[in-house]
Amino acid sequence: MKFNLDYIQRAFPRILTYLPVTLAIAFSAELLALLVGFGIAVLKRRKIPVVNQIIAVFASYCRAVPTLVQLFVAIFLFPKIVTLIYPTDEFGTLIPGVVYAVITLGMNHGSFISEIFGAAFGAIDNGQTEAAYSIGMTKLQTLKRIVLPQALVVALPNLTSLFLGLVQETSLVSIVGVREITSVGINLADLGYDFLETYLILTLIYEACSFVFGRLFRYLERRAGVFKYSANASGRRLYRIPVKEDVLQ
Amino acid sequence: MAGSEEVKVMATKLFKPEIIPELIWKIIQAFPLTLTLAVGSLILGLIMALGIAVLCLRAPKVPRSIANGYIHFIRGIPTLILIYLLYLGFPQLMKGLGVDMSGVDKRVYLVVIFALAVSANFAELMRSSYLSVDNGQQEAALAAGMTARQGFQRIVLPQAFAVALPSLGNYIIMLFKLTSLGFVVGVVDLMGKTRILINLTYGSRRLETYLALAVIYWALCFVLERLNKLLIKRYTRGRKDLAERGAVQ
Repeated sequence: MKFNLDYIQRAFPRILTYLPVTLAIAFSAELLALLVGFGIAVLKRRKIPVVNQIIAVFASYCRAVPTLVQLFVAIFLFPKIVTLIYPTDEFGTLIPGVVYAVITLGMNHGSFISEIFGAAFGAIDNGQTEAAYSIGMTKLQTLKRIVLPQALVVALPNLTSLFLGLVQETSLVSIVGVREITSVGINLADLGYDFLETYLILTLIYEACSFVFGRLFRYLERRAGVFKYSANASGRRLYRIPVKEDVLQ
Repeated sequence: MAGSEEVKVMATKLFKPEIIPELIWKIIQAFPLTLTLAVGSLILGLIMALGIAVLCLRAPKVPRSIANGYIHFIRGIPTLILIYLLYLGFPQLMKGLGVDMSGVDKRVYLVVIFALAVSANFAELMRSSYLSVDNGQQEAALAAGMTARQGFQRIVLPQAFAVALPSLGNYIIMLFKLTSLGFVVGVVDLMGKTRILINLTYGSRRLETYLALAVIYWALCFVLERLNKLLIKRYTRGRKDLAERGAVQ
């Protein structure tokens, strides 16, 4: 077969120009997920009766329903909700689909991240908090200087693998009509039936993202390792990188 | 231009949750194919993973690094891209080499692709579970007069299996959800059937149909989860330490 090098030269830069979109989706979803995850983890510790049940149902939905189906549901459900709250916007058409996609991915990952945060807070010995109080630190100081740094060390490896999964999941939003690298690639491939070349390019880009972010976060993990003292004692050594489904049991 | 109240009424009136049960019944007709895809790729994926795990643990340096590279490669590529690459790109490559792949069934492609996608996770799970069983166990078996094979079969394997069980359940749920991507090649699984139903109503019942699909996945995953919990409970009865080691957190 003739490998269409000319096509690769044309298509590669065009697909690459959409990489910032993919990364923007991933990062904004991650940011939302961290906020949602932290919020849920804090709420869960309070054990408020009805709220806890709602969180459990939400977590179960995030775990059991494929992300793609969640995206479809959100893309058709959210505009109706927007219309109800803000009736002048006819069927939520003013808000582009990518916003709904980011919210869906963010909420979905947030529910997984909340488990990671919960486990990380649980891994910090109570004695640490008590010791901080005993030398006169306030609650906020204790959280900021003692608990959070140690909890982050425990949480970071899991957060990393979840983020790498999130970058891959952004490829799904191409199906619900958002223009990012995958959908641009599919369009280009369909024009001239250059499937092999296009999907090799996409493979290369996604692999590169995984590699770069994997390395970056591993560096951060090492940097954060200075707080490792008690985290290491209570956190179990993991042989393998867990996937999203591993986090919520 | 409709008034804001009218828009509100339209948004709520257009949504008919009462047709969801009927839609569930229609979609579930496609369940056998989803089940076939999931079970087929589960079996094939486990066989592949066994080979990779053995390579990772026992092989000399070069095959071992190839196996490790394979695991990293598969973990770095979104399954959607893997489907496109192998379903659309691979036949092009084979055509160039003079092999016609057009006779191969779509479902066969999907089973192989999903098996590849999960084999990396399964392989790592097998490896880590095997390593989590202390070497002393095998040594004790040898000391008691068992052969190496007996020691592995009767002592090490049951313990490693108990460690792997919780994550294995998670991966099966993951695989099950993964099959929802099969519709992009045009098979009529649960997702494909949903899309057909939506097209039949010219997209006017999109939200209801996707909600019905979400309910189906939710229910099926709930059943799978219960089964897994039951299995874990039975298998780790009287072996609390194994059950604890199996949990990731």
